[in-house]
Amino acid sequence: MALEVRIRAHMGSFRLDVGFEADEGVTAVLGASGAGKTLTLRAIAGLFRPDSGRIAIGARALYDSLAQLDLPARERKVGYMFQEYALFPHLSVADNITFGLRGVPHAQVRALLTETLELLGLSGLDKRFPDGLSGGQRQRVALGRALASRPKVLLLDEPFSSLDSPTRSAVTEQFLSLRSQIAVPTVLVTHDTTEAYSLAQRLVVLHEGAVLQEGPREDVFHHPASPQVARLIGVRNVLRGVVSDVSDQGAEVAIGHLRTYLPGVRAVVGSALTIGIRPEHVVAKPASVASPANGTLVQDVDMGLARRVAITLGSGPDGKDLSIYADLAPGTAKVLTHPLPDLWNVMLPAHAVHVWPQG
Amino acid sequence: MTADALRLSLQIGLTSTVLSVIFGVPLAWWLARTNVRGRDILSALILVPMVLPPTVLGYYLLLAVGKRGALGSALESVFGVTLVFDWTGAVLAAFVVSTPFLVRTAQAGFESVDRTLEDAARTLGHSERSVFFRVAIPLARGPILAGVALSLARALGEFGATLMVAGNIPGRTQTMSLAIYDAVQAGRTSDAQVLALTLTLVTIGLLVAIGTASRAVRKRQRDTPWP
Repeated sequence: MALEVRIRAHMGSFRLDVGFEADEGVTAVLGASGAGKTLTLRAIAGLFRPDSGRIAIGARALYDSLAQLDLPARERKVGYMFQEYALFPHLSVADNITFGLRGVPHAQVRALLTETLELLGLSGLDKRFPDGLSGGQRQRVALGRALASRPKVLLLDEPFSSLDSPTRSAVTEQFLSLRSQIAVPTVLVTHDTTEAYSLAQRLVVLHEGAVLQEGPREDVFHHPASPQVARLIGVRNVLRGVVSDVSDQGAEVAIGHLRTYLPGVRAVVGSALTIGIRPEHVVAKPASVASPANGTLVQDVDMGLARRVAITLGSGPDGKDLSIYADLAPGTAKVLTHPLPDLWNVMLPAHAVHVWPQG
Repeated sequence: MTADALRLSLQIGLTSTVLSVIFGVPLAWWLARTNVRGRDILSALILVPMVLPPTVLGYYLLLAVGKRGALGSALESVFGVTLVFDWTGAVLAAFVVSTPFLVRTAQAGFESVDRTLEDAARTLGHSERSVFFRVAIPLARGPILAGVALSLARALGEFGATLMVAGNIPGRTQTMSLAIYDAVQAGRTSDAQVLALTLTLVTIGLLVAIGTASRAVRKRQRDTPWP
């Protein structure tokens, strides 16, 4: 049964207008902070009332402004894992996990508890209190609590953001192996592109309260519909260019003084385009001669394994200075001496370049 | 006489405190959570009995529940109850004077409880009533018990408003506080001493009992400090 969300709401000057569907499996809502991600989850859970729209799980409506239906949170059967987990500090792990099992016979509660503890690798911790748990354990208790009452939809608000990096990767892997056992539509909210991509099958890109793009993760990741989506999914270089030459097979685009041939692009000479490319895909090599095609190093960030440099490409169609970020491959970066040379040759592999009409 | 006054003081003080808890704690939660317009004004109004001179407050109460007062005549004709010059009148006076102490302290306690915890309980199928009893109260119990202690102490020490509404009738409405005043007025110095010492010890004893109870309840958890 799929979760269907079409809502409009406002909070002060912020406007939310969100529509998406989440099938069984994981759907990631990706967006920067303030995009309306948490507000959307709160609306689904019944903790925030939108102005209008409809929220339904299969045929069961949770909220429908036309039918004047607004189920209270307690009747929605929506499992919600809060960002800081919101574990009850006055209750043990066992009591936290079984808190949602009201009116369930005692024997069944015991069985569900044991099952949940085992599923999440929490066996033996049932008598502990939240303040005696590690971050990863707390996260699993929160997930167990949300799952134990057999929700029809699972909502995860930045589930891994408050974990330190080693715990985070361990918990992420565990979640992946658990994913197939969670047989309900799961909506995961995150600002982390890698997390969204690795955990979800579908992506919903949210920006300032509106859905910019929605679809299978590969589509969104490899074919961002707009420069805005591209920026949100980590395409750091979004640059304006002008078509400088055309042929039957494609077009040559000038980005500053860098000219790059893009097969398959249809455009007229002189028209403006926006192109996007990840720093990981930009090929930058030290240049020996000063030529118009080469750029100058303006920034150098050593990230340990990789090294990100920014290289000027002259000025764009609007007269502003253009520079492009390139990640030097680990091998290259190691060989390169400190400081890096000034002159660089930049090449954009055509397959990694996204092109949008001027917007 | 001391025994009568002590019995009346405890009877009135404890009844008033029980009523304060029944009305004050839910009110404090509501005030801490609601977004209705005028919430701040209401919060401020509830504090008025704390700042008003007790005799002034007692005078207003007397106007309200006296035989010619709107509330008083209604109570008399419908229930046949007269609050004036009765221990129940003293309870009313103590209740009005002491409840703000509880509401104020408990409201601050509830405000310090993370709302997300209450939301979590809601998504787990709990009603508002259940959220109140199983999440809000346990997490704010430190401040709530502090408020109970404050309001009980205030109720036991009530003098001015009680005198106005219930009078000073030995065996009927004369509490320890009033009996001390009587003894001093009549020059019975040793009586006054005994009464004063008794009331001091009883009050301290009750506060210690509340403190112990609260620590026993909080033993499993260390996050809500006793203010």
